[in-house]
Amino acid sequence: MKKINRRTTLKGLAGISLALPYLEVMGDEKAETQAAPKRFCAIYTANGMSLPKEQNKIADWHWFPHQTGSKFEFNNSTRPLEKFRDELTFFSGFHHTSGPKSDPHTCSDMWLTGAPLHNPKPGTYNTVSLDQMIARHTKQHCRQPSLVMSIDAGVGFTSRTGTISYNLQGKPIPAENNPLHIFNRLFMGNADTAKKQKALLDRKMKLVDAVLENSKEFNRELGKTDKQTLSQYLTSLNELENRIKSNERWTGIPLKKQDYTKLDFEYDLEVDPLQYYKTMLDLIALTFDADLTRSVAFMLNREDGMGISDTFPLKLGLARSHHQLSHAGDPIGQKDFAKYDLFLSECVGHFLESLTSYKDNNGSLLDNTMVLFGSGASTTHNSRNLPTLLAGGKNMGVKHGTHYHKDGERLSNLYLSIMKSMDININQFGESTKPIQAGIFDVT
Amino acid sequence: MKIFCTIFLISLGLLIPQSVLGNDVDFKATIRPLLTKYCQDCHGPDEANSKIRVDILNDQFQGKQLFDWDKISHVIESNDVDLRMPPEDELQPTQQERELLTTWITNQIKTAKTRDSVNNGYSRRLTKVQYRNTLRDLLLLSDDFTAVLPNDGVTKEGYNSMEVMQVSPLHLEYYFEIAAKALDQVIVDPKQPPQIHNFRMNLGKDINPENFNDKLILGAGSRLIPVKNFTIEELTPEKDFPFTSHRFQKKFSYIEGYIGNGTIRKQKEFIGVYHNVFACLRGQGGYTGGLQAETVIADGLLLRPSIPNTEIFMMGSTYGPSPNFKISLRELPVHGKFRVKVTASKYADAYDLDSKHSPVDPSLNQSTVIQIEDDSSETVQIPMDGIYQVDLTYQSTAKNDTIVLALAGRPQNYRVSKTEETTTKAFKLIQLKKGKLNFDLQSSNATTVEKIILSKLDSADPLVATFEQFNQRSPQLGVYLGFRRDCGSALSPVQIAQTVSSTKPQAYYFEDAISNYPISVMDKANNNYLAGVSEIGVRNEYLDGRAAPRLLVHSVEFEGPFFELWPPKPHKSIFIDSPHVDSPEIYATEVIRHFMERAYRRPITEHELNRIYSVWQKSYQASTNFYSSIKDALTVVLCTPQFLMITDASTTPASEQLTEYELASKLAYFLWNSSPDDELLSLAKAGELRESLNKQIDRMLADPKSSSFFNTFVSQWLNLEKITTVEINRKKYPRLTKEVKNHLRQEPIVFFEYLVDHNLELSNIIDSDFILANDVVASYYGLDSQDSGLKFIKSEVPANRGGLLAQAGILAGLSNGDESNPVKRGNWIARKIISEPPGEPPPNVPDLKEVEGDFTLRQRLEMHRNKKGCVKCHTKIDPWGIPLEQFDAAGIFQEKADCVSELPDGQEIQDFKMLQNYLISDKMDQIAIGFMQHLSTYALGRSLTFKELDDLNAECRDLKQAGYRVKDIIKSIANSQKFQTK
Repeated sequence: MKKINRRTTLKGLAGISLALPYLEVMGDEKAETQAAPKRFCAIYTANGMSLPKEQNKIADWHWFPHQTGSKFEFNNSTRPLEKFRDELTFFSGFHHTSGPKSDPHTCSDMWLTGAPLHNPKPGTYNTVSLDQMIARHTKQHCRQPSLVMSIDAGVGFTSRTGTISYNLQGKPIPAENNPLHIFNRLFMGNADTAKKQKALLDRKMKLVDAVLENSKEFNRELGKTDKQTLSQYLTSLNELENRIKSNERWTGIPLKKQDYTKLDFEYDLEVDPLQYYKTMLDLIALTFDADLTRSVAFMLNREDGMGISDTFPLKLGLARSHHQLSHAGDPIGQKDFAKYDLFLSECVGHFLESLTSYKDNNGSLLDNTMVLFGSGASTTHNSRNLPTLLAGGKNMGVKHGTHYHKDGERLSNLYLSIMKSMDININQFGESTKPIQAGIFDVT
Repeated sequence: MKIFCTIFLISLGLLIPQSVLGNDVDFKATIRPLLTKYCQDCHGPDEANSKIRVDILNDQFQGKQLFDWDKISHVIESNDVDLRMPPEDELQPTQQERELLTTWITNQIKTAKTRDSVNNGYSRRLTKVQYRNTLRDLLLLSDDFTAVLPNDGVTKEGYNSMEVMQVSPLHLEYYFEIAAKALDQVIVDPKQPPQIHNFRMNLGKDINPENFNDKLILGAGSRLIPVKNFTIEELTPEKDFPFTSHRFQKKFSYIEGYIGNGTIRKQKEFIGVYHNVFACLRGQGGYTGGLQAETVIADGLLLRPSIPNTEIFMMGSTYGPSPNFKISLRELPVHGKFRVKVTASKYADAYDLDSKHSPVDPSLNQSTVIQIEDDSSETVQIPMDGIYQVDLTYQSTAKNDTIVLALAGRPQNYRVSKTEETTTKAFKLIQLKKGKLNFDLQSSNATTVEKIILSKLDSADPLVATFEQFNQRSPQLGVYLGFRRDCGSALSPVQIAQTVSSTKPQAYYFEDAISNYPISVMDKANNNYLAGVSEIGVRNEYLDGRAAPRLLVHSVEFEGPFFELWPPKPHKSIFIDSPHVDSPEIYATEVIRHFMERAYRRPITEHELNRIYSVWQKSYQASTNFYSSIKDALTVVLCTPQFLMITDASTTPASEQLTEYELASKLAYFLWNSSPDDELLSLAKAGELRESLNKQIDRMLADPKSSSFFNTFVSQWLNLEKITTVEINRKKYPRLTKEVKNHLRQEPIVFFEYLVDHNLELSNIIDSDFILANDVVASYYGLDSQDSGLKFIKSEVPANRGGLLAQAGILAGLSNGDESNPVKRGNWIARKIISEPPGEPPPNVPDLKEVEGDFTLRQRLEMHRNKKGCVKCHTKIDPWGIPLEQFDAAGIFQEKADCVSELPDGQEIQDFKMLQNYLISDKMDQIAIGFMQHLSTYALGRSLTFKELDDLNAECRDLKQAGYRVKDIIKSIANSQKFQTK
C-alpha cells in the first residue's frame, strides 16, 4: 500500500470542456447505439453463501428465499436487495455438472466457464469465460473489450486463481485490484485534448510498430529455439496494436462528461473493506456510463482462505475468517457467515443503486446491464445448488421478480440465455444443452 | 502432478526389479489391452482420476508422460493396500500381468533416462522483481514504477516458473508506460538548471524568538509543538552546478476550520512559513508506565520508542504509533531523489525506577543532599564518578504533578502524586561525573520539593548492572515519508532504521526516490486548510519494550530533488562522453549501441542496431529534438523481447552448451535477480566466465544485490507469505503484532543467508546450535540479553529452538492465527523439507468440526484420516505435523501438547526434538535432494524434467561427503548440466 493518492486530486477534472452530447459523437454508429447498449457485469464471491442447517433454527438467514416463484420473500442476508425485487431473479438448483467432479477449490475458475477442470482437453486447463465471450461481441462498440477486476491483482497461482476471467485459449487474464490505477488507465489517459491525444497515440503506435517489427525479426533469428513465451508476447503485442487502433478510432471523441468526485480512493483495506468495494463498483458504473467497455468481471474474494479478503469478516467484527465461516456448521458460525452475506448484499445493492442513478438510452444503466452475482459453491466445497442472482437488463427482455428453482439445471444454460438476450448469436457455451425455457428470458 | 511423482524417484533405484524381459514386448498388442482392461474405467476420458488418462499414454516415454508411467508402475506393484492399484474391489490383473506391466515400464523408463530429451533452449519473461531490479541497474533509477504490473503466476511448488509466467496485452501496455516514465525520469535537459528545495527544522525549547500569535490547526488528534520550540531555516546547498532554489510559499488563502468533514468560516488569509510547515505530534500522547512519550528540551526533541497502535479500529489507534512525530508541510517536490538528514544523538538518559524501590538512607550512605530553598538554579559538588540514585523529599497537594529537574543540563521529568505529609521517594538512576554539578528545579505551586538526595550506588549493587545494561542500549532512528489523512497518515519508511549510539550530535542520512512514497498531490481547487499536507516522520523505532535511553532529535533537513551532479549520473550513463556529440547521427548510433548492449546483456547484431537506429532517425527527423528522439528509441529497446526475456538461443534439438553471455545472464538472474554487471559481461566477452564460475559465485553472493535472491528464493521455498497474511487472534497472542510478524518473517531469510555465507551444513535447517536474531526476535524467544537493535546477529539458541522448523514465524504462518494446525504444518514439512508431497484433496471433504462429540483435535484428525479417500494422503501429512504441536499458533513452545506420532515409514516419534534428530540421522539424503530440487527449479525458472530430477541423485552423492554444505550446493547447481546447457 505504498502509493496512495487523495481523492482530492481528482476534483476539478470532472468537467472536460470538449464534451459533446452522447449520440452526436457516435457519428455513423448512431443508428446502432440508439438501440440501447447491452452490457454485462459478473460479480463473484468465493466459498459460497450461508445456507443454515435446519437444526440451527436460523432459517431466516438462508441466502435463498424459501418460496419459489413470484411470491418469494427475502431473508435477512439479502434484505438490502429487496428494493430491487422487480429488477432481479434468484436462481436455485443450478450447477456445473463438472463441478462435483473437480477439486472444489477450483470452483471459481469454473464459475464463468463451465469447463471440465477434472478432465481438461490435453494441453489446456480452462476454457473461455462468459465475460470474455460477451466481450468478443461487444468490443466493437466501445474503447476497451473488457475490464477484469479482482480483490488480488494478477492471476494468483495454479488452482487457487485470483481471476475469474479466461481468454479464448482458456488462459487466465490477470486482474487489476487498484481502483486508482484502473481509473488512471481508463479515464485519465483520455483527459487530454483531442489533438494531444492523437499525437500521443500516433507516437505510441509508432513505438509499438517498431517493437513489433523488431520482435518478428528476432523471432525469425532465433531459429529452432522454443518460442512459447515469445509467441505469447507477439500475440499480446498484436492485441495491443489492435487496442491502439481501436483507441485511434475514438480519438477526437472525448470521454463523456462525468462527475468523478464520488470516487473515493481513500479507503483503507485494513479497516474498511466496504469502502473499497464501493469504490470498485462505483468505478464499474462510471465505466459503463462512459461506455468505455461493456463487459466487466469482478472477483470479490478468493477461495480457500487466500488473500486479504479472507480476513474481511474479522475486520467487520465477525468471529472467524471468510473460509473458516464457510466451514461453519454451528448456529453462531452459520449466522456470522450469513452476516457476511449481508455485507456482500449491501455491496451489490450499492452497485444496483448506482447503476439506477445513471441515465442511459431508454432508461437507466441498470435497464441495459445484466448483473450476474453468485458463487461457485453453495456452501463449502459443495458444487451443487449454486447461489445465483441476476439483476437488470429489462431492455434486453429479461422479466424479473421471481425465484426460479430447477434441481440439477446447468448454469451454462443460464449463460447461454444471457448471451441470447444480448443478441449474441451462439448456440452452445460451456456445457450448455439449451437456453432456459422459463418466462424470464424473452428469447426464442 | 509432477511433484507428486518425484517422491518415487528418490527411491527409484530400490524399487526396480532386475530386468527379465527384453524390450521386445509390443505396446499396442500387449500393454495397451491390459491398461484398457484394468485401468481405463477410472483413468480414461470419462473420469481421469488423479489426472491420469491411460488412453492417451503411448510408448514414447517423453515429457510429462514419464511421470505418469513412473507413478503407474509404482502403484501396480505396491503392497500397501491404500496405494495398490487397481483398488481391492475392482477387477484384478494376474500376478504375471502385474509383473509384465511393471517390468516393461521400468525398462522403458531406464531407456528414456539415458536418452537426452529435446533441448531447444527457451525464452522466459523476467519476473516482476527481475524486471524492477534490471531497470534499476540499467538506468541507475531509484524510482520503482513497476507496482502497476500484474503479479506473476506461481506454481504449486511456489515458484515463478516459466510454465505459469504469462505475457498478456495488459503487461505490454504497462511495459510501454513504465519504459516511458522511467526514461522521462532519467533523461534531463542539461541546459535547464534544476530547482532544488532545501530547508531545515531546528528543534529546541524556546529557540524561536519570533512572536507568532496565530492559532494553528491541523485537524483532529493533532498536537502541535508550539512555534516557539522550533525554527524553519531555508537553505541554499553547495553545488558545483547552476541551480535555482525553491522557497516556501508564505501567503495562503483558505477556508479556515474543521468540524468533522465539513469546512467552516469564510475565506481567510494566512501569512507566514508556520502556516506551511508544522511540527506535529499526532495522536493522544501518553506512554506506558505513566511516562511522557516526547519532551522538548533546550537542544532538541526527546522521543521514546514509538509503540505501535493496537491494530484494532478505535479513535486513538487511527493516529499511528505513540509518539508519532512528523514535520507536516504543504510543499515537497514531486519527482526525483530526495535526502533527509537528521541530526540526532543518544540522550544521556536516566533510568526510571518503579515505585517498589525505596529511597536510600542518606545517613548510611554518604549521599549528597541538596536542600531546596526556592525554585532556583544552583550548583553542588559531586564527590566521585558513578551511578547515582535520585530520591526526592517533597510535599504535593496536586493529584498528579510533574517536576522538571535538570542535572548537568539534562532535564528529566519527575511525576509525583498527592501526599498527606512530607515524603521521600526513589525516582531515578543517573550517571554523574565528579566535580561541580549544575542543577535546575522547576515545579508548580502545588508541589514543594524540600530535598534532592543523590546517592552513589555501590558497584556491587544490582541496580548498577541494570543501569549499565540500560545505558548500553541505543535508540533506532527511522525516517518516514507520506501524507496526512483525516484519520492517520499514509507513511512509508525511508530505507532502514539507523542506530544512534553516540551521545554527541551526528548526522544520519536517508535517501530514496520520492515517487516511491505516498505523496499528496495538492489539488489547487481544494480550499481546505488541511488539504494536501505531506509529512516527514521521524521515529525512535520500537524494539521490545525494554527501557533504553531516548532519542534526541536536534534538527531535520530535507533536500530534493537531490543531485550530486548536473546532468545527473543516470543521464550521463546514457549520454556517454564522445568526440561526436555534435554530429547527431554518429552520436545517436553510439548512444544507442552503448545502451542496447547493456539492455540486451550481450553484443548486439547490426540488424538489431539498425532497427532501433531507424526509430531514432524517424523521430529525430520529425522533432529535431535529440533527447526526445533518443527517448523514443530507448523506449522501444525497453519493450523488446531481447530486454524483457532471458533467452537461451538454440540451433539444434541436441543439447548445446550455453554461450558465455547466456551463462552470465542466467547466473545473474539466479543470484541477483538482475542483469549481469560489467565484470560478468567482460569475463563473458573474454570467454573466461565458465572457468571462473565458482569465484564469481563467491563474489556475487557477497554482493548486496544477492539480497534479492535470498529474499525471493526463501520466501517462495518456505511460503513465507503465510506469515504476513495470517490474521492473529490478538487477544490470545498479544505479543504477535504486525511488526513482530514482519521481523519473524525475516528470520528464515537471514538464517539461510548465514548458512550460505559460511557454507554451513544443510542439516542446520533441521536443527542448529545458533539462531539469527535481532532484539525483537530474541525477545520473542525470551532472550533478554541481546542488544543489536534491529540488526540480525548470530545468537545463542534458546531452548527448543534451532533450525527452520522451530522458527516462530513459520509455525505461526502454518496456523489459522488461533489454533495450531498439524495438517498445515505436516503438509508444509512434506512439501518443503522432505519432499514427499501428498496428493490433492478429493472433492466434498467434510470439515473437521462436523465430527460430532467431544474429541481432541488429534482424535478428530485420526477419525478424518481413517475415512476412505482421506487416509491415502493424510497418513503422509499429519504424522509430520503432530510433533510440532509442541508449538502453539503463535509458535511458542508448550510443554503439555500431545505430540506422539507414527511417521509414514513406521518410525515412532515422541516429540519435536526426536523428530529433528530422526530427520538428521535418517532423512538427510532425501532432504538434500529435495532442497536441490527446490533450488534448481528456482535457478532454472522452470520445473525439472524427469531426467534432471533423476540426475540429482548423482549430484547429491558428491555433496554428501562434505555434509551437504549450502554454498557448495549452489555451486553444484550452477555447474550442473541442467544449468549449463540449453
